[in-house]
Amino acid sequence: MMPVGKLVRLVGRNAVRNRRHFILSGFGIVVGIASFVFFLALSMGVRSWVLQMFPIDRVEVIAPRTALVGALGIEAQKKLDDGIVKQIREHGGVAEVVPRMAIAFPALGVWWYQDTKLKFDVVGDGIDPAYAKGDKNTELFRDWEAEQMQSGQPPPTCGPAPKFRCPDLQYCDTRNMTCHHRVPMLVSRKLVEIYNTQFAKSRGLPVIGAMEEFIVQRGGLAKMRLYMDLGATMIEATTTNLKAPPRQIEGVLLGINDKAIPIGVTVPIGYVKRWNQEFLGEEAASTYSSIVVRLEDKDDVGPFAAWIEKDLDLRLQDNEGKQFALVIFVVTIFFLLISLIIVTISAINIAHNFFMQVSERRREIGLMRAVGATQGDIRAIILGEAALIGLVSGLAGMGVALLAGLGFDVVVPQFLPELPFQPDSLFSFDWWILAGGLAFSVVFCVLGGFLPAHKAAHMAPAQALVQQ
Amino acid sequence: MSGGTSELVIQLRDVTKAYGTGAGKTQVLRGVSLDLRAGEVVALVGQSGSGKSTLLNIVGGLDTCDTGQVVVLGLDYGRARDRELAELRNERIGFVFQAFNLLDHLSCVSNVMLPSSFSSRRDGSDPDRAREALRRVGLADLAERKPSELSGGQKQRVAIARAMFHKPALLLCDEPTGNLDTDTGREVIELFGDINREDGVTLLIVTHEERVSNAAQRVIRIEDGRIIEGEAVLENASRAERDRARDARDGAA
Repeated sequence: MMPVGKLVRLVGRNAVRNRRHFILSGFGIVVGIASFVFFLALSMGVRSWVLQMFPIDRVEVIAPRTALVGALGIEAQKKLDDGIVKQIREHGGVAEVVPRMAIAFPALGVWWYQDTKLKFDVVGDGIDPAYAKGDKNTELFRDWEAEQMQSGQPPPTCGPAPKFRCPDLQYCDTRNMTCHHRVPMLVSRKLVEIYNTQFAKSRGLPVIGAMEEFIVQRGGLAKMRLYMDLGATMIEATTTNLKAPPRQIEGVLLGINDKAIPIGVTVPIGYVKRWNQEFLGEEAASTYSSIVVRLEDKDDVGPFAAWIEKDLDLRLQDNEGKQFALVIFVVTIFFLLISLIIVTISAINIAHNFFMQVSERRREIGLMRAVGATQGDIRAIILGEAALIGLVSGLAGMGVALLAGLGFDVVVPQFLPELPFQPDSLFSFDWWILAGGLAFSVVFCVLGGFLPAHKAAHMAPAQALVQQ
Repeated sequence: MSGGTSELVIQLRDVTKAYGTGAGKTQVLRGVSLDLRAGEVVALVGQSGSGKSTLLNIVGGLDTCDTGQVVVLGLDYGRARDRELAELRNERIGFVFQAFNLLDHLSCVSNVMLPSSFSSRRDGSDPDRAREALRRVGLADLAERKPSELSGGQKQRVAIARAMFHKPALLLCDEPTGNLDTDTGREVIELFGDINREDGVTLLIVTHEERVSNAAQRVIRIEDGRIIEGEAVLENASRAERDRARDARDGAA
């Protein structure tokens, strides 16, 4: 077997000599690999964007309502409590368990925005602040009230009437004239999207783009005041029996967070527990509305769902991320199939070109055999040339895909409607996509060269040498 | 040209070869037996289609025989693997063809170095050795030229330099002067004589030219696939083999 260095030199020399043939053979591969890398990077980019909003490895366990005695209209619901949380936490493959507790009583929200008083019934829930820790704008997402109580110090008193002043980001509780930190609140992208596309449009209000910019433009967090009348509602038919009279608190809107409830506001869970205890009692303060579970491996969702249903008589909330991921997967497979077909046709073209080359180079191949080339050497030379076409075409294909992606990112947004949370690039040119594209290219070219190489290797040298 | 030593370089026993099958089958060699000693210069002569080129190709391992035994430079082709045959061709046998068989895209020096591409020897002096081989055939000044810039005689000299690159023990030449004019052909024959005298290389030359066969120490005439003149030495051959060879010669005559 000839040394690798000599093989590389010989293959390189042949490539330069037959450059026209190389370019013709490689053209299809360039197109195929470019489309392979382009579509894979696009689908991966869109997938990670979608999954950032709808994480697929996070599932939400809920307790379904079941009709116990259908005729009597009696419904029952399994209670999601600390016992269930413990059971889930101890189940294999579970990385993180975060219970959510809904605000189980009516609350009326008031928000002064653009000199407009917006009033609405509040939907909201609470999560452990540790769950959102490390995310953007969550430094103030803490249970300030619990910290105040634990400190043992009395809360500062409000300033004299009629202004009842408190330090920044605090409000005055007029029940006992004490200052309390405003309740930190997070909202979801979805809520802002609904506001932008439905609410703002119909009421002539400005859309919210980047949340940070929005907050800064309106005077910072101190101006992000949201009043909540706990126990009050605009809905007259409400029949909830409350154990406490309505009272007002103030919240501060910190920003958008993917862990916030899709429609509503999310606060630290301690607040919700205390409020539920105050207005509804112990049962409401110990019942979770759902339990968010992050699995170590997203592929374990199926078995986990089966366990939840069979052993705990609970079920998983429909996951939008899963549906999006499925759609993206199908579209990706479609485009990858197209790329595969292009590359396969190119490989057949390479095989055809190499068969012609082998016929044209019979005499040369015979001569090489005469001066000491083994059958393996001849095979290695032809396959080496095919691999070189694959390598160069693969690199060129990657370059074309990168340029096309760049152009796509620049041009396409100009033709799309305004999407406030669109990422900078829709593509994710991960190293494994580029390496895979290159390997794909080389492997298919080598496959294309395989039969011609076999033919060349088994050519009788004496007959090859007499070719005219 | 000088005489040789007694060491056998080529041993053929009852070699047959046919091309095609059925009605189209052509029997090219019919039980050829032949011995060549080291240092001999042997001319293989015969008419077109007599089987001399096929015999040369079989000796060089470029073709295979149907039956019989071929032992060249101690290697029994019937038992040798492709790698061993390739190594023999690379290092111990040189080929010179009528059509020169130079690669047009390579310079003369690269053509001469071609065998080194398939050698596992790690010798950084390959270009120097190739230039030395070219100098020896009188083409030192044309080392960087492409074959298309050379005359027929010059091309054949480059081919001889390539054949001699690894200093082989056996040189197989197939009509080496067939494409050359008389004067150039004579120069090439003289060059073969020099190679034989100075390096002790054994030469088997297929030719139909009298001037070439006149320069050989021994002339083997082949006709219709049989040796009819210049019988092989047949050392170590059985009496039956000698008789068969004689019968073949007598029959052809």
